[in-house]
Amino acid sequence: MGRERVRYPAFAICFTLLLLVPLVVVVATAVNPGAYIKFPPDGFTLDWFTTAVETPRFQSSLLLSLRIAVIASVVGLALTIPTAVAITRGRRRLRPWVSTATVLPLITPDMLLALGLLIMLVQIGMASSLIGLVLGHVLIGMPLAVQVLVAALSGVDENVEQAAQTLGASRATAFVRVTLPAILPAIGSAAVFLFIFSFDNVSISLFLSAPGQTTLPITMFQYLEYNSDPTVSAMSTILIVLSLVVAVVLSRLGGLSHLAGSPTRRSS
Amino acid sequence: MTFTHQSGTAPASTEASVPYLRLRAVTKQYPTGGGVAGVDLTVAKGDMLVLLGPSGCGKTTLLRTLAGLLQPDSGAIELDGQDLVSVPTFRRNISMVFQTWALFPTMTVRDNVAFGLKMRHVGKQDRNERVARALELVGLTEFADRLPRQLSGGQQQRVAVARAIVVEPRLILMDEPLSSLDHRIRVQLRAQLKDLQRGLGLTGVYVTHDHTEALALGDRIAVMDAGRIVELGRPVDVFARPTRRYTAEFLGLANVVDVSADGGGYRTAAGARIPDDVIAGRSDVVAVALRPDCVRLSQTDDGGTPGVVRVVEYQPGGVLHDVELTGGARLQALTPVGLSYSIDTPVFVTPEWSKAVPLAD
Repeated sequence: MGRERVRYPAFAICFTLLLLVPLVVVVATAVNPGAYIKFPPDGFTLDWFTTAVETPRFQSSLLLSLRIAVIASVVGLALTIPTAVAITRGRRRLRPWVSTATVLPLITPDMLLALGLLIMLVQIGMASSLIGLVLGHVLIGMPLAVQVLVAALSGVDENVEQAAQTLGASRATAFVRVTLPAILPAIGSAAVFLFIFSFDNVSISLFLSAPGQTTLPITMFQYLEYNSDPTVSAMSTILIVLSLVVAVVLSRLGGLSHLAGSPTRRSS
Repeated sequence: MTFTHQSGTAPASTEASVPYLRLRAVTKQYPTGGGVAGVDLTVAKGDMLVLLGPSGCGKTTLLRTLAGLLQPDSGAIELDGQDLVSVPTFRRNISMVFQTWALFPTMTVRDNVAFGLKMRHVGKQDRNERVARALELVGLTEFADRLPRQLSGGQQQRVAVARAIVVEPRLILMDEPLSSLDHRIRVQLRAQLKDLQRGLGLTGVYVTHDHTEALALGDRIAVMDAGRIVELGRPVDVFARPTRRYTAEFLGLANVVDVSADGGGYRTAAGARIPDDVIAGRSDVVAVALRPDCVRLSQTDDGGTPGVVRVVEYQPGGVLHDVELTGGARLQALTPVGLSYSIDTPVFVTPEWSKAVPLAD
């Protein structure tokens, strides 16, 4: 994509390094040969990675986290795409209100959301179920996903869908054949956001996990409470590498640029 | 109907006896104002009707109603004897070219043009042939595999036209399709568009606010004001002999001078008498239109009204002078290039009122 090459000034480089320091520390502690977390490390070993991968608790909660994150992404997309369409194609007067409402979960403290959800789920007898946990995770990821999709949809010329209709496509066909492909990168971004928000989440999971169903961040937290060996650091390092992959994918899809108001793909 | 029509065999535009498209009392109002009210129109097969008017006059509303993108509040629309209002857009077989062209951004030029045929389940071979022919017609054969964003504005516009004509629509609607282009390309494409429409025998409705476009493209022109059609006729009639002050002022091609009845005749505010045969016995005349080339300028006192040249503008047909008459009124006069006057020159102005056109309100 022929974008203009951006020059990174010193400030931006310093700032980026500052953001990366904690990650570097975590990675460094993971290779400490001793059975304790220490920075800088005394030597180099990859044994803790083996331990981390082979610890059954980590294995099961990693699988659970991945499963929940995938389900949350799919359910989240099923909810956010129609929402975004409704916001962009709906009544102009209602648009800012609906838009603000969908951002609320983002600015409310997670704890309160989790508490509210817990009370609600207890009332309907769904507490401690996987469904409740998934719902909570979807709720956390939805605001950003909706915003990304709304931004992308606003960049699609409304006439395009109407042109498809005049050419013989029903409304549904026009949406699927014309609009959906145009916002595919944004849908990818939204899915990634939903995935990350679910995978990373601690507070909601803390309230809504059923006993024996702990997600990876919770397991790691619990492990740290009673252990001080670098297994957690090794696990974190694996996650950091995975996140980097996701970050690259996200930037390829346009990621946050959808939010910055530059989604238009029409030529100048 | 294929693309085999030659320009000569297209239905002659003057055979307007059988209305192909008929609108009866079509009304579409918006709660915020605007829209159209009680529009009656007919378009003959093979004709291009231009809806001309300023923005907000309802011309685009009318076009979208024809496309089915808007539902009229009341009134009837018939195409080829069939009621249209109850037919959803995608079953109307009416193509539309949008102001923004509205090309499908993720599809190549070829797929854009093929879209309508796919929706009609045209077989692959037939489809490919027709797409190729349509692209050839608009001269974009070598751009078939490009994406819309890789094309210039003029090229995108031609894709939009190809996409609209390839399905052989019963009616083609155009919503200011040239307005976002440079002047030179606009003039070029205007001619191509007319050629194409004639050659394919397409019946069309074309919306514009540009009167040169209306002149160039229309077999008939409907001038719109505030949701109504105020004047309808052949381009030459509408332009040379407008009947309403609104039309004359909107076209901006002539001086519009208020007149009032004064003992059996009509006089301007300055007192000049309008010849009776100009008025031709009409009683609804409120003003007259006088083309600038019917206003004579002279530097010697030949009995004309004294005035001063305020603005001079070079035009293809001569030099246009904006003259301020004593008393403050303004009159435009067109003189041959060699006989122009410079700014601030005192002149004597003689309007040839016998060439004026009477205007109703």
